[in-house]
Amino acid sequence: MLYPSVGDEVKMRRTDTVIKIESRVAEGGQGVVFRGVDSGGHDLAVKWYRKNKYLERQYNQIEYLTSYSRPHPSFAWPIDIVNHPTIVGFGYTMEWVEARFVSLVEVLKKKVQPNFRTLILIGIELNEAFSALHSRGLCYRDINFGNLLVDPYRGDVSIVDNDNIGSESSRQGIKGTLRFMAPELIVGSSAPSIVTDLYSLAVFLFYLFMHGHPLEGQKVNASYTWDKGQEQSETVKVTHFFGRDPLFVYDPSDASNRPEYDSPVLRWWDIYPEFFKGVFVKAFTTGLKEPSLMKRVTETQWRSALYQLNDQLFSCSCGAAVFKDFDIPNKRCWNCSGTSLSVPIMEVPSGTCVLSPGFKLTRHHLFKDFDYKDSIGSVEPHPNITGELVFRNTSNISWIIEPVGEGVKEVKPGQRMQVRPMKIHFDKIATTILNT
Amino acid sequence: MMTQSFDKTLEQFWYVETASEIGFMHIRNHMPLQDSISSSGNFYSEGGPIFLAVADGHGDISHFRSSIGASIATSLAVEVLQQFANKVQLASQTEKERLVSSDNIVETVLKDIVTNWKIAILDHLANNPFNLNEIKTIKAHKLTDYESNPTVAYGTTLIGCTIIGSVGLFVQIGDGDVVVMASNGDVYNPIPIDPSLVSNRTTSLCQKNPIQSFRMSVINVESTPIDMIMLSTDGFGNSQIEPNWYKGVLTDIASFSQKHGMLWVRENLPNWAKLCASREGSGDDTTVGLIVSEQLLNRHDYGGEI
Amino acid sequence: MNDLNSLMPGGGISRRSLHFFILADCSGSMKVDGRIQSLNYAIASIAPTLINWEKEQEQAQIFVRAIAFADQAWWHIESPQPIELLNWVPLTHVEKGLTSMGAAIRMVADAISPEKFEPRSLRPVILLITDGKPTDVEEFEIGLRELFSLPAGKAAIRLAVAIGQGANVSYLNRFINDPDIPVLIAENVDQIAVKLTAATLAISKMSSIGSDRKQVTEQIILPAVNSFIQADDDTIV
Repeated sequence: MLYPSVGDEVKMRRTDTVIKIESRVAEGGQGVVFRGVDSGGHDLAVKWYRKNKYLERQYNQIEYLTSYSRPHPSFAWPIDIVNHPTIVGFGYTMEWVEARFVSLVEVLKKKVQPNFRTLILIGIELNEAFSALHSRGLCYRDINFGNLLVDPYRGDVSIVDNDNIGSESSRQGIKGTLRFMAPELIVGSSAPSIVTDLYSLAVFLFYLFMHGHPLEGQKVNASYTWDKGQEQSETVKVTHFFGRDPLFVYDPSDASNRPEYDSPVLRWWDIYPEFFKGVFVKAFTTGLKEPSLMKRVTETQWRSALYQLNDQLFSCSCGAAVFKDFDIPNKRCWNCSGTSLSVPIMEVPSGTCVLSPGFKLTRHHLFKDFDYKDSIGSVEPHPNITGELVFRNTSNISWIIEPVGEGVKEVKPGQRMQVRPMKIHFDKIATTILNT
Repeated sequence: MMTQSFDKTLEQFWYVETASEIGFMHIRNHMPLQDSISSSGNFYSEGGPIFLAVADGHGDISHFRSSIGASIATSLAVEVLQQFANKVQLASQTEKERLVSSDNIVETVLKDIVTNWKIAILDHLANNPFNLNEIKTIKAHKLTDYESNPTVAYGTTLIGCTIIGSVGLFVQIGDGDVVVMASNGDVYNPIPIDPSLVSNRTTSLCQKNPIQSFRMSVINVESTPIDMIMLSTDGFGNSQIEPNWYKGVLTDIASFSQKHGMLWVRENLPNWAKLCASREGSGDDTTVGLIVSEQLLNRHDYGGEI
Repeated sequence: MNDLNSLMPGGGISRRSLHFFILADCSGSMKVDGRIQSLNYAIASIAPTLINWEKEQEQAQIFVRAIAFADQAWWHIESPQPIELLNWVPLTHVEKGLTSMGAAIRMVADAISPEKFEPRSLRPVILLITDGKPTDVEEFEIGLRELFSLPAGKAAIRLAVAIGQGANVSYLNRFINDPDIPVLIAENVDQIAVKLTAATLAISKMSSIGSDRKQVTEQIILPAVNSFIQADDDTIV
């Protein structure tokens, strides 16, 4: 027997916890994944390794990972090594990934796309997870569609297949998945590292927001030919366009690889504000050709860009979700081509935000302390007046407001105020709401 | 200190020019101009004692009335120096030497400045009690004892200077620069720089025993004649790229005054202060006081073609 | 330079500088568990936030220098580099290298001594990144004494990042010498940019007596505004 069968019991090495194998879920290159249940009735995943010459290395790897706490809740981190009473070899157990998590490919294929706030949440969570991993000096090595699963409704992320994680100095067989591999990996001038992870992460984010590959444009397509004897082998092509001579589809100084006329990237790219596109430009220009921590976009940069993007989202009068672009004052709506009606904006110490339903004011807005979690206020549609908004005080101090043409008022914790031009004082911090 | 002789009253004419500009950071943080400058004397027309004082009120919120503290300090310093000048001018030769001894300056000039400043501050406070906002600030600073020493609210530095005949006197507490250019071209700091005044700390008129932290110097402007004196708050010095800017700045001003005349210098001094106070410079309040000898303007040793 | 500036006396003006010193541990143990990568990653992550911070506050120019230490301490970046031009060459561990943290502290103390340190610069920032305790304990003691005897050393904002799970924080706390500033972990390096605000408050001067350092921290790190309390009042203001 090579693998446990349904109904078998495997045992965790350290705690002797018994897991009953319930079903076979997937079979991959390295082994088979099962769903198991512990005595408490909790679902767990069990991955059993196929017999291979790297088995000892794989064992050490899992042993190493299980000695660590998981860096971030998004990782389906190995919990323990499991053994079978009769079958030689080993497996490991990890958290069961709920069915709500699906591959991004599935999401991108759907007609109805997740809303922008959810996409941004996914992006932020991915960046926080990888930031936590990289902060520990560990690299993931194999970012791809199959390993980074997303919940398109709640904006959560689950990162699976963690058995390739390790420090750069630990050698692993894996080089990655072709379309996500950094050019220096493809040409073989470097091993997987935090630096190459940063590249793969940028590719994933490009797919998430732009619905395509950042290097696949006209130049790459032109190399596909029907002429007999002219077609290059796939490997040669990939080495060339993704490795030796990669070119970003929106490279500002070379337009020869722009997206094809029917590429979804063409439409999505235009929707985003200039500053956000600028981060991708950095990732796929200097970050493409100069592989270093300093030249690639780090998670901190992505994270602050994503929070800023979230602050610029609102609805056009046609109903489409659009981003306010402070660099292009009269940008037209991607859907109705109209220039947006006036939207209320709020000037805070961290910058300018658009007030729209779902906007959350956090400590970072007021104190620039990178605390994006503590909510101070949130914007909701007005319960009684269509088209109007209310701002709820979700902090524990009263806001002092000075609406234009009215007297000074107080908004107590939990209370709501109608959004209109005013000054709001959060203790010592003064902010302004304006209509643009 | 060397015993110096001051037996002659020099018939020297002095120009005094001043500029004081609010710093970019002050504007941005909604803070007032906290520097102050005062001068007195018979300028332009005839010789006689001249007086100049600059002060830099501390910017930290714990010193929330420092702009008042600074302006009281400069006007008071000029007054005290005037009283001192009156005595020196009337005194006999031996008496004059006693008057300018450092012991006596500590006992008279420094003591008067310190005491009068404190009295004036307490007087100001009596007429303008702390308002609610200020009391809030005081309460937030638990470790600062405003009760036993309310002058902390008015904390400021001070540099004072006078020329009385052949006597040049400089007194200083806290940071800022005093620079002298001698007629032979030498540029020096009559009051040695205090290396402990870095970052955001300074000695202050509001501290417990300010006299101890005062530094002073007396020079004989007859035996070593001088062309120029510059007093400035640290907003100026902190803007200079050259760490040792003293000679460059004073030589250039000497050259400007010879080439373009004093009127030109007077018109431009505020611009220089403004640049230093801008975000291109230190961003801090910048105050400059210049004393320029007429003898300098009558020579051409720094001037070339315009 | 504009016309006005060229007619200005002296050698020109510029913003004040904020000198940022990185003291980086390259001892043998940094090889373990990706610690040296963690260190390099931390520095790469903080650089963009510092660039951003410099841009926003429009006042101080940040210059970076770095000292690495193992069997001895050496300059990794010796001449001050403007933050936006910082090109961090990743550090590597020294095989079986010791932790000469004391030597590194003495080196930074020398660099900020009154003879060498630009007097007009703002409070310097010294960031110590390490996974352990000094092996040169005597040097460490001398180094701290030297550092705290210097005006700029005393005024410096001293921060420390502990790498790895077993870092000994007691030495780091002695280096920081301020109970209000905790040792950071690599994941929270963006907090370093927040702490810099204290450095630029240098423009807002204090009298030596009327000041307490705690105050500065309190002003910057305002009390958390959280925990949602529902008001009974349902009216919309």
